Amino acid sequence: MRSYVSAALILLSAHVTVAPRASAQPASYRALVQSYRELGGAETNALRAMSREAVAAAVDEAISGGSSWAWEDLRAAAMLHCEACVTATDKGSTCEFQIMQAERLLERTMRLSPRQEDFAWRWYHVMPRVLDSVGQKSLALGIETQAAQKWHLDMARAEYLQGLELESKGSHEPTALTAVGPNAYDKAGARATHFVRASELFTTALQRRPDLTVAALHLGRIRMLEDKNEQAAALFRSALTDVDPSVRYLAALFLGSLEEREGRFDAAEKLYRDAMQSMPYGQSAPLALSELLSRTGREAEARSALTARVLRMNAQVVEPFWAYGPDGDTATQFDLLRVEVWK
Amino acid sequence: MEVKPVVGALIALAALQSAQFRAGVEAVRVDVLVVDGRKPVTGLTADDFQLRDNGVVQRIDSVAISDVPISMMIALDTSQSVAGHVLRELKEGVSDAVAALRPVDRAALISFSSDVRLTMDWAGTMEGVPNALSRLRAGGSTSLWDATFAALTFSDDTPGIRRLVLIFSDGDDTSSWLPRDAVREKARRTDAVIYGVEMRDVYTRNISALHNRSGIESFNNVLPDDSPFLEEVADATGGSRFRITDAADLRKAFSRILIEFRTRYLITYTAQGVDQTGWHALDVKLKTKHGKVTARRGYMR
Repeated sequence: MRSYVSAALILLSAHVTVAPRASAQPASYRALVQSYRELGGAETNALRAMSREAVAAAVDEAISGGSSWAWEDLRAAAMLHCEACVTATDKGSTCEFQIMQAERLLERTMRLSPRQEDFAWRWYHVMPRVLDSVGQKSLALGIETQAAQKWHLDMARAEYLQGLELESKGSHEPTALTAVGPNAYDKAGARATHFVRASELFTTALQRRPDLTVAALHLGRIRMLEDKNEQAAALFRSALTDVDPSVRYLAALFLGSLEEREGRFDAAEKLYRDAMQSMPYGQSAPLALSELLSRTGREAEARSALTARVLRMNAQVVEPFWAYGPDGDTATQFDLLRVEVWK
Repeated sequence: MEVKPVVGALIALAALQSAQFRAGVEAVRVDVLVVDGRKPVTGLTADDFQLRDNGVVQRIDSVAISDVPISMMIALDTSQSVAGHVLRELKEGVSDAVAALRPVDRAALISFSSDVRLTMDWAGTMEGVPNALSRLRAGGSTSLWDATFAALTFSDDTPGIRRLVLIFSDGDDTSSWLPRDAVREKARRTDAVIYGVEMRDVYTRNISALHNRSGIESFNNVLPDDSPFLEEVADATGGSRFRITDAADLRKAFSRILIEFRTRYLITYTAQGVDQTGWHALDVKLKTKHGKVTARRGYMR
């Protein structure tokens, strides 16, 4: 949704967008990963300080058939390697090795938990942009190529991606005729045309893969913009159990907004709270909840809803809506992957 | 800084122990500015004012002025567009404004770009200001509506104070979740007085706010804005919007706001002869003396 993404933002993402949490000094690769899962962020120096041979051997052990590593730990290890890449001062000599380890770990993650194919897809979708932003263009291209090969048979995802583009185009067209003069054209008509085509693509994607409920989230948003609220609500409900916490967050947020419009404040409140639980780092859900509570005369609770999550010193904010759509903020997309693997 | 005894204020506020807009059951507080030309009119008493609540003339219990402690919430736009000298001037302006507060006053600081952050919690001393300002960095888009809501919601709940919300922005909202209308309604419900400082040339309105919750609609469609947001919310609370074109004027603007706020009167009355619930339209006038009175347009009960 935001289009001002800069390389500098990505470069600083690990340090600024979501600051690392305090960390103890771990002693081994596994301890590093555990610490990263529990505390987040500050283990990258220790990882880079390990010899490549030691790291490769540790990853070999982690992904071996007899390994006791859970998929959650493997996935966290993959993201730790990504952070070791983007925060390195010598990215040219660091990133290729670190990203290769991340890929190996993700492969094993998917084998242990097939539903994590979704996380892997998002990783392959986001990392080329991240790597490109930090100057690792050839590596970015390599990851992109691999992604194309891995998912080239997945028509549902291809349709979903096309739908995203059209949803975005439609959203950026005004809802009414605004142009004047000889070049005037029906922008509202253009909007509707984009939405119709995007809806068809999302619908087909869902028919092919009913588990791809992120497509339902986007289809629901279009229905909402078309004032087809009942259809939108049903679609948002189906996305409430998506494997991706960001999708669950947005589905609850959008559905809560619909419920609020209809005057069902209790239902809206519950959905906003559900959203906050899905993604504790989000900003929009606490704001939506606070506004609802304030409007219904519960000022003290409205204040608490804000201060518990957003308005507190050194609050960490990663808002899924900033990463919504094809032109979503890359730094936020990367942060969403990071916070998803933390405990 | 001058330390004044606050006996007068304590007497005036004795009936306002809960420090809410509607203290107790019936007490209502209205913050008003009286000017003659550009000059504040001072020395007014309860007998000088006529206040109508939903058209019914009310008996004014008390009128307080400068002795009442102030809580100043500052909300600063730190989006990418303020990078460089604007941010430096902002920091100077905030530093000066906070330094001009008295020991009985309090201040807090919110900074906003895409996200809304509490940069300095409510404090009675100004020791934390340099540290808070040093943490400010420019970057990201502008969640002006979200930040305004947050600034109004995170108000100082210290009993017996007057609430000033000072908001600076150099552009239109681009990334708020909350719709403009909801934030305007919030402004109507609070007793804080908003002063806005805007630094920009072109005014646009986010078309999304016309139809949907802003977070769900796109934000790139803009139309000429005949009613800038900060002017709208300032007007709703009886405050003002200052428009500047040069960052060098920020310090002057902040200083002027604080001086003006100190000259405002805090009128307290007990609403009688009107419905207790719903919207209460307010009309405050001077009975005989000359001057222009600015006050909030009403309150929700």
